[in-house]
Amino acid sequence: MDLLDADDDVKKAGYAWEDTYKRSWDLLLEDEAGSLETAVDRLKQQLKRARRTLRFGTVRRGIVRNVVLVLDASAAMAEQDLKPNRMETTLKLARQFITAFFDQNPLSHLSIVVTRGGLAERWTQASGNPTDHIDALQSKGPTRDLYGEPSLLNALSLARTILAHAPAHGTREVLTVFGSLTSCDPGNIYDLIPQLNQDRITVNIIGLASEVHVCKAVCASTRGQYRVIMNEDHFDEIMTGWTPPPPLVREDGDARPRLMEMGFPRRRKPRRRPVSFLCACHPFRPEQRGFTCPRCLSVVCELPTECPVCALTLVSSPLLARSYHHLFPVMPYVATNLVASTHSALPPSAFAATILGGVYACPSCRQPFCLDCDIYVHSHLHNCPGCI
Amino acid sequence: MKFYLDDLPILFPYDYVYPEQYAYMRDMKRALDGKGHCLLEMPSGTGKTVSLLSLIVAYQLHYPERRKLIYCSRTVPEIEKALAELKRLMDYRHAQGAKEPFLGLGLTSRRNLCVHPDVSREKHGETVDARCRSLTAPWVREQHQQQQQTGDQMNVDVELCAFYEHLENADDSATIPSGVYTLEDMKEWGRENTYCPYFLARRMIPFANVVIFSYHYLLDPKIAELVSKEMSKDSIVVFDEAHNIDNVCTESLSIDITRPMLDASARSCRALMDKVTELKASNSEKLQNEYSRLVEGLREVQAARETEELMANPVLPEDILHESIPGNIRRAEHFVAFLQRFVEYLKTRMRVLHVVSENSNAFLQHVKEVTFIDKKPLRFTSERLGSLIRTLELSDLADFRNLQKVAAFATLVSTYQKGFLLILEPFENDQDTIPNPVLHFVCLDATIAIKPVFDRFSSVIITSGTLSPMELYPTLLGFKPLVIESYPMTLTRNCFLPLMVTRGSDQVAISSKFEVRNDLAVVRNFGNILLEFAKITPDGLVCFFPSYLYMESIVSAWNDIGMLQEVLKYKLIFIETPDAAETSIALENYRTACNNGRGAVLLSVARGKVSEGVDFDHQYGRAVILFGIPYQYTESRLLKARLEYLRDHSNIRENDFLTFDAMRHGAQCVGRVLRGKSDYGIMVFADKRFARQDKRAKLPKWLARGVTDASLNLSTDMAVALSKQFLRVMAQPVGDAEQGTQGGTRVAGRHGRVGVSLWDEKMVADVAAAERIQQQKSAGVLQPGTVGIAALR
Ligand code: SF4
Ligand SMILES: [Zn+2]
Ligand SMILES: [Zn+2]
Ligand SMILES: [Zn+2]
Repeated sequence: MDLLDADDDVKKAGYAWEDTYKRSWDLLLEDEAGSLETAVDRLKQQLKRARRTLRFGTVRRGIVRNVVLVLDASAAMAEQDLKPNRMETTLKLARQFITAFFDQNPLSHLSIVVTRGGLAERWTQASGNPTDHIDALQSKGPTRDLYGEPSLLNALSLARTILAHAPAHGTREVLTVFGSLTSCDPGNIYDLIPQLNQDRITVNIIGLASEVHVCKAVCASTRGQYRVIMNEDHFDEIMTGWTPPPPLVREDGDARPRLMEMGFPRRRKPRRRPVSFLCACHPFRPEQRGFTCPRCLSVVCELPTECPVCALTLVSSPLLARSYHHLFPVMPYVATNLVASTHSALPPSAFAATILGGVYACPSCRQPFCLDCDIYVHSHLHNCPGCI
Repeated sequence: MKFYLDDLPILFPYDYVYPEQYAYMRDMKRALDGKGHCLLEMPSGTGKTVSLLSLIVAYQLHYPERRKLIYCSRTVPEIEKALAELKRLMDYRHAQGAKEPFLGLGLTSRRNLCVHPDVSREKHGETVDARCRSLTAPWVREQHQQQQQTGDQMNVDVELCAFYEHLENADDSATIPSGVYTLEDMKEWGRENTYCPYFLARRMIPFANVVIFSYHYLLDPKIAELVSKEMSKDSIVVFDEAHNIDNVCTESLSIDITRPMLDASARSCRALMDKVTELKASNSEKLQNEYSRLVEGLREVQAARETEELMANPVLPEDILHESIPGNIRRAEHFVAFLQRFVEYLKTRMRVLHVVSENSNAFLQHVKEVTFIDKKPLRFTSERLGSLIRTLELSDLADFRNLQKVAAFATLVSTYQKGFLLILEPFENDQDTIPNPVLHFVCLDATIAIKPVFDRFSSVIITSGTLSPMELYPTLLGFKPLVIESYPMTLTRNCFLPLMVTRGSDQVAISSKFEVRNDLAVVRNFGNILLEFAKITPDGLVCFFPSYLYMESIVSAWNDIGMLQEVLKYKLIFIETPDAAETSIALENYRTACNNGRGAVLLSVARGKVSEGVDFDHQYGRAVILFGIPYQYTESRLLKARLEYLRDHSNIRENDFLTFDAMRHGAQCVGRVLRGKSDYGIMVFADKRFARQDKRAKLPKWLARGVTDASLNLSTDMAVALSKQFLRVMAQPVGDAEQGTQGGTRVAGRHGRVGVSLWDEKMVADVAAAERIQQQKSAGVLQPGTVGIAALR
């Protein structure tokens, strides 16, 4: 399944922006690449590589993230330029994102805020439990309730209060999906920016239609990114781009690592006959599975989480290991001047799976890879097969 | 970067040059070499000003003639911008080691330059002028001196301006060190050294290498005579943003006279008469002196005094009579009576309740029959009035402004016969019943005002972002350009999207044509366009209507059918009004709404203030909609007269001129949203007539290149779909190397567009070499005019 995923870009009809490339003939002809298809392919490849290098550019990352996911639920989200409509697509991608987010950042916290009718409301409390959020999206995210205009100011202010409680060692990020082209604010949003900066909050925004100045300005002045989607695939791609932790920037320039306390709880011994019990985190829900906090011995039902009694961060060791690959990424492969026209042109040990395109080599083991393998290694394996 | 055009080294303050900038400089140099005029159309936002200045400064400093540059722009902000560019360029040249003495100056009205603590606080230009004059007029200063000499200090009640006095007393020692002075720098220097920046700037003009000021300093005879007299013949004159230059020319020689003006003039006459009698009783010697001076026919020595531009003669220098003033108006009281008679005559003319249109001769004839006033004394009215005011030592000229206008009218009407027309309109609108008469004295021929400029200066450069169709300008202005060129914009992404919307989503054709413009279907379809674009355009959306009248009627119609309420769901709405103050408040709020994400629509008029001077770059204008073709109001008698004149004398057909004029204003409007290569915007031309070849052919070349078959003849929904796609594409991040903007940091040689839309030094050298070979080949063929010159040198 994963393998196919990486292929998807190539198989689908193509991004809508490629249409515009196709139309500008003069541009294509300037590349002395001969036929049109190669030119289009080359553009695609450049795109993929650009994406890849971008992601692996920095080394120092914060693995504990505090994120507020802001969703626009204004009338503009009922537009049907995404199918079935913007809100449905956003909810779907948000669910995917949340799963992937906790998969890759097991030690992080997230909270969901929604804005419509000029107001902002909190859907979920900051929590490290993906199911909380996904449930909330499922139950509270009916699309019939889309009305009014969003308020960026209110949403960011709310996000700021939520993030104010986040521990200092983590990142503070606001990830926003903004479908509307207007923001109906009760005050001047530019007054909020210094406060956001003071609290080290980074605002990222995905626009669903076109570039809105205020979004761009807010992102730029909080060191965040503002992107506008071309279509659903692009939307997905940008949203997925949020999953790996962002590079860590500290205001004080302090580069020393900070220590944080963590507990590795023990699984409650399963009984021969399953019994239900109550956990400390969900007082009214009987559970069958549980973990004991090593410090206060209270029982929680899911990991990772924060112990509701003694506030210790509880993780399992595999989770911790998973967040590690961001700190030690596989080196980006470098393009070689080989061109793989057929398989036989490659050395027999090559990992190349498709024929078209350039050949890339691992800088440490010098094994050649095709573009798709390259992407697969870096996005899913996190280990170079040649090096092992 | 540094590169060579033939043997001329050019220091260009950026690392790359756009190909069109290179071509622009090359062609301009050709015109300068050939000592000829040129007409260059260069898209806005491509660094026109910096290319122009780089070339001309390099030219000045490299060749021994040191030709002075006179750079004319339209508005004060534009002058400031040009000065800032010049300063940047000179800083760059200094950094590159070119140490040369150089003086660059800007000149504008006192209002922008005055540093007097009280006077400078006045809001209106005219009040500043008047107050300054009352502090600096020669007789005021004389009085002051007398008082100082005779009485004790307590009695000195005549105030002077310290800045002006210091400058006057400093004589020739008052100079400024070389450098480029922006208006602010100039004031700074003035404050520090107690020199009046305004008069200092005027004094320094003969010594400056570059002078930047507004059109009027060259085109309006009243000012030009005072300011620009001493410019040498080989100066290089540049008119920037010159697409409207023909109108500036005609307006500088036209005068409108209204009833209230005449009433005020009559009052002024009476005041003059009182003064004269008074003076006669107290000090008749002065009047006698004046009289004898006039008899001797001495032209006033003081005429050129720098403080007195309001008394200057309104006619062109070569038309001023160098004779003595006729006898019947030499005596002060005779002259005032003469003026009174003339004013009364005009008043009676104004009582007529039907439209009169006649030429100067007929008018003079009638004047003679009724009042026995001859043409000859009329010609001297302005000058004689100036002399009288000086003799009477009146410094508060504000009261006499109307009378001066009437005098200027008298002088003009008796000086010029050809190319002028008198039109008396008793009613403002044809439907009105209460008369509000206006006597227009209109200049129909733009060549009259600009001819002295072309005659006097060897190289006049006329340039703008929109000069198409360019063939018309030489005829309109009466000159023979050595070079005519229009440059496309090299872009690696199409950052503007022209859309010709010809019908609504219901397929009904739309047009602002008079017969259909008020049809409900058309109104509704126009409204739909507005609504749809308000929905999809982020931040600012600007709309232009052909006239206030039409805007008013369509906006109220939209209000009736609930269209405005719909639009208000998406954006705030602001409307331009003829009132400048109101409009600037609306503009300010509009900008705020664009900045803070609220989004706004600005409804404005194609010939209004907004369409000419205001830029809607980036978020301030992501789309502009032109509702209908901005034709002039064809029922206007002034326009009809001008059209007739052009047809008879310049062989320009009415329709050609109207379309030309409409399209240049249209292009000007839509060009407002695209102010640079990093900017982007949608340009909607909403009228079925835009799709026609004859209209499209009149668009500037850079704009016309963006019009593809796919963007012709669209319905509203098609246009919206295209726009949505465009906005998404434009919102994608661009590397610098992709688009090639000159500012900011760049990485050369990234698989980018350096080479397409950016050239570095080496590429320029290559291109130049290739061109030289090309020219050597064609030199044998010897083409007339433009191409051969550079090769033959
Ligand atoms: S002389 Fe200069 S400083 Fe003094 S009032 Fe006039 S403009 Fe202002
Ligand atoms: Zn639980
Ligand atoms: Zn605990
Ligand atoms: Zn390897």
